[in-house]
Amino acid sequence: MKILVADDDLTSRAVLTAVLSKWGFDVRTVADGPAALEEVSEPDSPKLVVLDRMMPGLDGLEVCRRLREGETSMPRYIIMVTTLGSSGDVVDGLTAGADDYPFNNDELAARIRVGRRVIGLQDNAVEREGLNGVVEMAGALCHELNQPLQVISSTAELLLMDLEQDAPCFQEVQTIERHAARLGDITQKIMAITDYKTRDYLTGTIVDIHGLNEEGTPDLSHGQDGRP
Amino acid sequence: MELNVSGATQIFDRAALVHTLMGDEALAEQITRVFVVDANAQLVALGQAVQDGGSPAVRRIGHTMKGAAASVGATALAEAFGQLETAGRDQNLQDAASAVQFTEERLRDLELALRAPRQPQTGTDE
Repeated sequence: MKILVADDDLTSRAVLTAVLSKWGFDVRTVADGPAALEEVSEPDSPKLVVLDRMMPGLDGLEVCRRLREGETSMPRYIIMVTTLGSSGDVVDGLTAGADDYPFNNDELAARIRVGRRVIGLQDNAVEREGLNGVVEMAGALCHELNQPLQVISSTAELLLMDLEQDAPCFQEVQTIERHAARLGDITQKIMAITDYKTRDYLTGTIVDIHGLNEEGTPDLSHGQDGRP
Repeated sequence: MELNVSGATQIFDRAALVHTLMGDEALAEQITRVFVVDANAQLVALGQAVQDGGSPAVRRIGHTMKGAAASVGATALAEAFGQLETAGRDQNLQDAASAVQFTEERLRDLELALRAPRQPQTGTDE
């Protein structure tokens, strides 16, 4: 996970970079407020930000406000660090939009762990939201497909009733009827999806409709976890 | 302004720094070297700011270096830089001039502590 450290103090940047790298973070550092804003304007910029309260150019409070103003659906987790420790300073930091305001290294470490967890949960929620949208669209398409499928299926059934079993096309019509019924079954399953699980497919994941039971909910008897 | 650090204040809390750096002694030494070079440069800038009558600069540099000193476990030096920050905030350049000298002495104390041979298995260096 990427993390941005904005601090005008060389030593603090060195300490934070060393510790955060040991924790597995991809650490970006800047020494002033304008550089921090420039860094987060890049595509795929860090979602976890450690801001020093007092910096040249723009202070941490102003950077924090501007970051919050420009946010859309994925808020960053912003931790403000400073040795200014009065309750008024804390209120200023939190009012500007900071999520946390730790006072020492141990507390900062704990807050960064919280930030990493929150960003991870956000990412999962966004991924799930995207999948939900896809499932909804698939449901709508299946609803549209269902009517012509029923026409094909019932026409095939009528033909089979009229045809002798030794008629040249009897088996072909039977195949059409069987596969139309199968398609109908699949569309019913998709429309009934209220929850789902995914499986690996090529370079990504897909919704696994074969792991669903008649009601469209994950069939846990298959031994795979259904996602809540 | 009375310039002092409390008797219990450590010159250098190596154990705290090594703890922060997850036990990496070599990294602790590297970072303290970076800090000492930077602190010397910042003290020159502070002296210049006092001469120029720049209280805001005294406050800003004092504040930044207070945090830096604290982050490497240079507790007494952090207090000294904090006194510079206060003098800058109060726009008291006379106190600031004394505080620069006091802070330089604390920095020399730190440099001596860093050069002193380390005793194995001790929690702190003073």
